[in-house]
Amino acid sequence: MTTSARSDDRVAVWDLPTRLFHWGLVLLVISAVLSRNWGDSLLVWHMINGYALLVLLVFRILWGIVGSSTARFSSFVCGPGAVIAYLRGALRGEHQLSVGHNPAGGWSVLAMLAVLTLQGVTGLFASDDILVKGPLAFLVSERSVALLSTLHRWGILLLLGLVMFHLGAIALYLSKGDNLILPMITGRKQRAQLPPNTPAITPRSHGLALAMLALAALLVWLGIAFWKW
Amino acid sequence: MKKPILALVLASMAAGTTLAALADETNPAIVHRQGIYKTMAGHMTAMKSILFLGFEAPQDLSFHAQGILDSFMHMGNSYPPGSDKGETKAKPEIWSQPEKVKQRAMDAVGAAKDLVAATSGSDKKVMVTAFKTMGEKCKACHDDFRKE
Repeated sequence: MTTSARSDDRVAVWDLPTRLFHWGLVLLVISAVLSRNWGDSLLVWHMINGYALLVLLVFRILWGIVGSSTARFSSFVCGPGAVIAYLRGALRGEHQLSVGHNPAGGWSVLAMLAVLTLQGVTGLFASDDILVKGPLAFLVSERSVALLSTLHRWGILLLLGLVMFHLGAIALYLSKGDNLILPMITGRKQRAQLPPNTPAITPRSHGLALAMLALAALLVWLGIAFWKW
Repeated sequence: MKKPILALVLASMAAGTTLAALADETNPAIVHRQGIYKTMAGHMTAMKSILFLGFEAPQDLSFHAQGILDSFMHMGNSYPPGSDKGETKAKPEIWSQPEKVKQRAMDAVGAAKDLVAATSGSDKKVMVTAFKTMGEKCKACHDDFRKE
């Protein structure tokens, strides 16, 4: 047994598209907040930012179906039994090894994806009541626009809560010597921090990822443009 | 067999309450103030169509700018005591922080005056800047005093 961190001690756990999605999402969420609060009062960038976020989210949903193992919903969405067992273990202070998202993390990912998707969709119907309206606001009543705008303004707080939870979990793992940040950058994780005999993921082709990104862009464009035909 | 009847009565009362909540706002102060704000929003939207969307009516810009300024001047006493009761997004801070409200209002009126001055000229860049500043002053007050 060796203690040196040679490169062959590390196992591929996250494919490149998933990592690019993750950091792209981080940047877009930050710029969404910045462009809303300190940007141009016409919200031009905030709206472009929102379309980009929706494309990225639709891509992630597609990648959750066709992506490599750790990116797939079927691999990380666990039943309540597994989640409770995991949380009990965490409360006892156990450090539980898992590849990809842990049982609770899988649900937190789903929650973040859901809240962000709602954020993107409500934004399409929102109004700032000064001079900017989302591209689909004309489809619904004034009352609905007001309600969806309110949800859009609250959504960020909900997301912030989930992000805090996410960062808290990362800090907890870090305190146990398990760095989750580095694998999300390099894609690879120390074998010692993985369940025994974890096989490396088989990455899907990058061409497939690009095709899914293009499909996502097409779907978002259709979803917005369709109503004006 | 009295329980179904009771349930029906309670259900219709609940429905009645919901419908009452959907009825139009009747507090005159709120009706007036929302009317004035919508007048301003209408002018802002019309200006946006001319400045950014290509609607060709540059001669109307000064009318809309003046309309915004006039609306500010004809707000009267838009937040009298009791006008927090009703369907309004006005935060209670409006009544508890009058000095801050006044400051925000002065800023907005100042921006409206600048907008009138800008639209009396012919420099589109100056108009666009003044227009965006107007939007920012609206937003500054919303951020502080308007419920999400």
